Amino acid sequence: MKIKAMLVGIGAALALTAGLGGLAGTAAADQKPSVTSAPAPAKERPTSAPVPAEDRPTAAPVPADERPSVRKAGPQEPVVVRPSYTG
Amino acid sequence: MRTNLLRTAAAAALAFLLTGCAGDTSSAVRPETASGVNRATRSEPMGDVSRATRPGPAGGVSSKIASVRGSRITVYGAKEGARTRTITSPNDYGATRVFLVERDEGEWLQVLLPIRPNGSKGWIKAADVTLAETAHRVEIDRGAFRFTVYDGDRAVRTGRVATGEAGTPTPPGRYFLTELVRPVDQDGAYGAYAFGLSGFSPVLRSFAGGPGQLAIHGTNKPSAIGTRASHGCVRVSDDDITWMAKNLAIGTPVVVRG
Repeated sequence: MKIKAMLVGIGAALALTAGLGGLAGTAAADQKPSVTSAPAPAKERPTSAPVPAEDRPTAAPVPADERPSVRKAGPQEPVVVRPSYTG
Repeated sequence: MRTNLLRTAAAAALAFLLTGCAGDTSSAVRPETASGVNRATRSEPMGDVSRATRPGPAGGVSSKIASVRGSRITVYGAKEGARTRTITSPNDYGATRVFLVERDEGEWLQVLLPIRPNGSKGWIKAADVTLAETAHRVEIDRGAFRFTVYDGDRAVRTGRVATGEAGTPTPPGRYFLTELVRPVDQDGAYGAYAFGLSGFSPVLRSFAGGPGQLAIHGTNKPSAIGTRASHGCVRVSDDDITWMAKNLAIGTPVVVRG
C-alpha cells in the first residue's frame, strides 16, 4: 500500500512538473516574441533615428551651402569699352 | 503521506516556474541597455557635424565677394533697418555688380559700397547675392611707388606704380576691383587693361565723361611710373596689369597706404 501510494505521489509530482514546465515554456515562448518584437521597434528607432540624425547634418549644411555658395573667385573676361577713369 | 508527496511535487514545480520568470526578467532589461548605447552613439556624430560646419564660415585670410543676383539690390543702413538706396546691376561698364564683404552675419552682409564718400558701407541681404572667396589682395604704397599682390600671406607679384599728382592725389583707403576693362584704344593712356576701383577722386567730381572713378591701369607712358603723374588713378606697367587681368577676380580688395 505504501509503495503504491509512493508511486502515485511520484507520478503526480512528475505530471505536475511536466505540466508546469510546459506552461513555463509557453510563457517563455509567449514572452520571446514580445522580447524580439520589443527590440524590433527599438532597432527600428536606432536605425530610423540615425538616418534623420545623418539627414539633419546633411540637410543643415545644404541650406548653409546654398546660402553662401562660397566658390573660389577667379579672373573674368574684360569688357571692351572706352573707359572714363581719372587716368 | 500522499499529501507530503503532493506538497513536495508542487514546491518543485513552483521552483521551476520562478527560475523561468527570473530569466525572462533579466533578458527584458537588455533592450533598454541597447537603446541607451544607441542614444550615446547617435549624439556623437551630430556633435561632430555641428563642430565641422562652424569653422567653415569662419574662414581664414580670404575675402568674400558678393555678386548681385538680380538687376538691382537694396542697401540698408542697418540690419533690419530702413533702406537707404537701390543699386543696379550690371554697373555702368556692363559688369555684374559686386561688393566686398566686410562682415558676414548669416542672413545679412555688411559690404563696402562703390559710392561716395569713399569707404561707405551698407547692409545687404545674403539671399540677394552669390558669394565667392579670394585669397588675393592688392596693397599700394604711395610713398614707395610700389604695389604688391598677396595670395594669402605670400607676396606673388610686386612692381612700381605712378600715383596722383599733388593737386589730384590718389586717396588712401580700402577699396575693391569693380570691373575689368580692355580699352578700345590699346595704345591709349589706360594701356592694355584697366581695373575700376570702388573709390573716387576727392578732387575731381567728373573726368572724361565719368564720375571721377579711380582705377588701376596700364600706361602708354612707362617712363612716368615711379612718380606722381596721374589724376588719381594708379598706373602700372602693361606687363603688370596684364598679369593682374589674368590672375585677379573682380571684387579683390585693394588697400592704398602711405
